[in-house]
Amino acid sequence: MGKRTVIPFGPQHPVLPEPIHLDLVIEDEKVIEAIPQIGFIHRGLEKLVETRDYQTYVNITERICGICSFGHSLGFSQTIEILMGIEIPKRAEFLRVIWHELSRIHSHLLWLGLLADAFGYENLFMQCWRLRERVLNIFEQTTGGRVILSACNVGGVLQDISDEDLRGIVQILDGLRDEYGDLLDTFLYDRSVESRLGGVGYLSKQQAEEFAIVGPFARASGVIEDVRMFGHGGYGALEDFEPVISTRGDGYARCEVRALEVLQSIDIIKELVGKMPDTPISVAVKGSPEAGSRSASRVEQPRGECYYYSRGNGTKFLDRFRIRTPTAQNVAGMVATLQGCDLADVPLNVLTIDPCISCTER
Amino acid sequence: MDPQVFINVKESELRAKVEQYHTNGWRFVNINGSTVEEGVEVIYSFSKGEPFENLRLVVANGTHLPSVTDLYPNAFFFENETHDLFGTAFDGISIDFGGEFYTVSVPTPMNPASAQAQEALANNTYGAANYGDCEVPEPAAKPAAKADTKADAASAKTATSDTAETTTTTEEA
Repeated sequence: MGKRTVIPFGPQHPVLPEPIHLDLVIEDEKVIEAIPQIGFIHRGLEKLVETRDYQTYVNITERICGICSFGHSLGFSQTIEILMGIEIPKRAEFLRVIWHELSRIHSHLLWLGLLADAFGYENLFMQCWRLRERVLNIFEQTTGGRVILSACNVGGVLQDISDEDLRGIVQILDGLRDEYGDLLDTFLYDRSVESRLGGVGYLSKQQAEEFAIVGPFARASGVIEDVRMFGHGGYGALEDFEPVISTRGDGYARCEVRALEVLQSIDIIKELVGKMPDTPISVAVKGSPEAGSRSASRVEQPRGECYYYSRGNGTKFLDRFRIRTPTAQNVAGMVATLQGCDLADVPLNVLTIDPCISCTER
Repeated sequence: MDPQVFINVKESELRAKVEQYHTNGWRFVNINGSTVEEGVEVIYSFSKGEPFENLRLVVANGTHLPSVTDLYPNAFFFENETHDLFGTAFDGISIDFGGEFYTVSVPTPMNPASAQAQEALANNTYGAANYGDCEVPEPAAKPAAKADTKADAASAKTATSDTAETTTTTEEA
């Protein structure tokens, strides 16, 4: 038995864009135990809901994360709509799903690029980010913003997309799909990718269920868990929705699931554009959530299920708003993947769960 | 829309209820604190595919709840978080950070009425940042109470003619 050493990993590390710290107990280059620590950047954004009215707070939820910003505004708006019994027009539901799925494409392309960079395939990284730029251009064209969209509010959406622009988006996505095919082949069939990711950070289906992990991390271990399949909002109009599942449970499977979800999101957008109803895009929202009313809802963010909770107090402010992010749910699973892995695989393992600490610490 | 199921439970029933969810194959979703008049409202959420249920209990400040990390290991995150932000302690957490999970500038920032916040106020340490293992700096001394507002205003008026004197006056105050 070798000597045990504790190696501190993070909060600053080249592979980590955001701060998470791990105490790695190492024995002969193998990780025996990993103890996570977060909490370096807790911002207390949830507390602001007590001093910002619910319509203004939508803009704050968007600033929780720069990647899934639209998803957070969607989750918050949806929770308030449940709280106040508001039914939004169909077109607004469809537009929300379109922007949300575009966010998923851009998030997954960003992650695939970071993954390629982490295993030293810089050209692949650049190609992924080049395609991601097109999605950001669609955001800019439709909302005026590339990161913070300010398109969603309580009662619907703030901006419409004309039918002509929707057809233009489909054309752009068709072009993106053609070029993405080459990158997809590389991710799925290139020997170097498979040899670097295959078997790294294995998590069985049983472990995935035990740790209650969510999102592509869970689906890569064979867990059929995706909020979109419940058909809430615009997802209910889809003919069929089957989550992308892999049963390998390793880093390669997480790459495979995210890579294929890009194509799935393109299909969802195309289907909804074809079915786009001609209704208003929002309803007028008056009044405030009743005192003591509470609601909880879930949204499938690019990184997995995100939970939202709110409690009204009879005024336009809320007593409490809570976001439980996918990363918070996945930390325990990530620690499990680290136990027994090589020290050299730690950065890649951490990256494969796609952690977002700024979301987690809100 | 997710089903809105909130089930009120008592503190004594909590553990048995969570065990029931675990036995029946429900997935753990969240633990969430919030401040209410009586103390802290704690919500436990579980899902089994689309079915989605929330247990709600209200506990007094300073209450210790049983940890559920032996059933749901990932609950350690939320139990530590609820402890640091609301002051509700959990007994038997698998990874217990003992109040240092989040770096916060005041104890239990989401619940100023918690036992920890009250203790810090009594010890005059409320507002001293949590620096982890580092030494906590001495809190700044409170300025002495002003004896006579009118006299202070008069001395400040006199002092405006001389900057050095202004400094002296302020220090004396």
